[in-house]
Amino acid sequence: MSTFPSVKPSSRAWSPGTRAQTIYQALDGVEVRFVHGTRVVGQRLTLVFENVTETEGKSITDHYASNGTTYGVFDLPAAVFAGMNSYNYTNEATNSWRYVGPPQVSYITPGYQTVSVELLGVST
Amino acid sequence: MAKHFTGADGALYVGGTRIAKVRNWSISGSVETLNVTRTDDTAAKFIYGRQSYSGSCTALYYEDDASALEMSALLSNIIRTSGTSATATATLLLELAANRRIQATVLFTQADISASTGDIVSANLSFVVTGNLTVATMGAA
Repeated sequence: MSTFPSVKPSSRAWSPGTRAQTIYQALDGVEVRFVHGTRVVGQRLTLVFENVTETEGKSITDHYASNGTTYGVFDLPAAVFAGMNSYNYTNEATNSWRYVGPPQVSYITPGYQTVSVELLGVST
Repeated sequence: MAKHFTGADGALYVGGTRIAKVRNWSISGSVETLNVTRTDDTAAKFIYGRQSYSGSCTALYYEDDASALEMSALLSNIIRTSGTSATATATLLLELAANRRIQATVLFTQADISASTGDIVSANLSFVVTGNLTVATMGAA
């Protein structure tokens, strides 16, 4: 399994996921839920790398390509969580990550670019 | 020997021709800053981006001995009966001394001509620089 490039983001947004479950709703509106596991999945992590060098930006788009685009799963390095003393709860050992879609790259000024990626937490 | 410059040292050339009756000129330069702050920084960090320049000048509106409007080079791209060519530019040279110059390719963007009782007619012009400065010895050591 590959590891996302070690580039510190300029902003990071995290949304905790949910436990796998099925919801049944009866005709009278009563709802029953069945939990299928103990793991939380479906976390969303949005990373923005503002004004990074071409080399740093290319390392992200290269990783996206070499990882089978949205197919493969990968781990995240500590650099992605720069500024957090403890980030185990956002990057659980039993979880990996997958690209939700292609990275968005904006070319602002010569030599620099802004890259944003959205990642989906998956149980592995 | 130390030298202080005064307004009398200032000169303005357009297309290599000195505009004789210039009252004042000014140029302003700025550089963009790119925010490179990362999530573990406790203070904002920046690097330099693109430079840009703009300025203005005031010249007297007068005709020379041959009845030619000397400042027509400043006005002709703005005060006209047809559209201005998209690629029209002028070469502007601002000078304090032979070794203190700024030269650039500019687009004149605004012309304000005013006539007032008891005063001679003058024109205020604004310009923006397109591209890098071609001479910048005014900022050199």
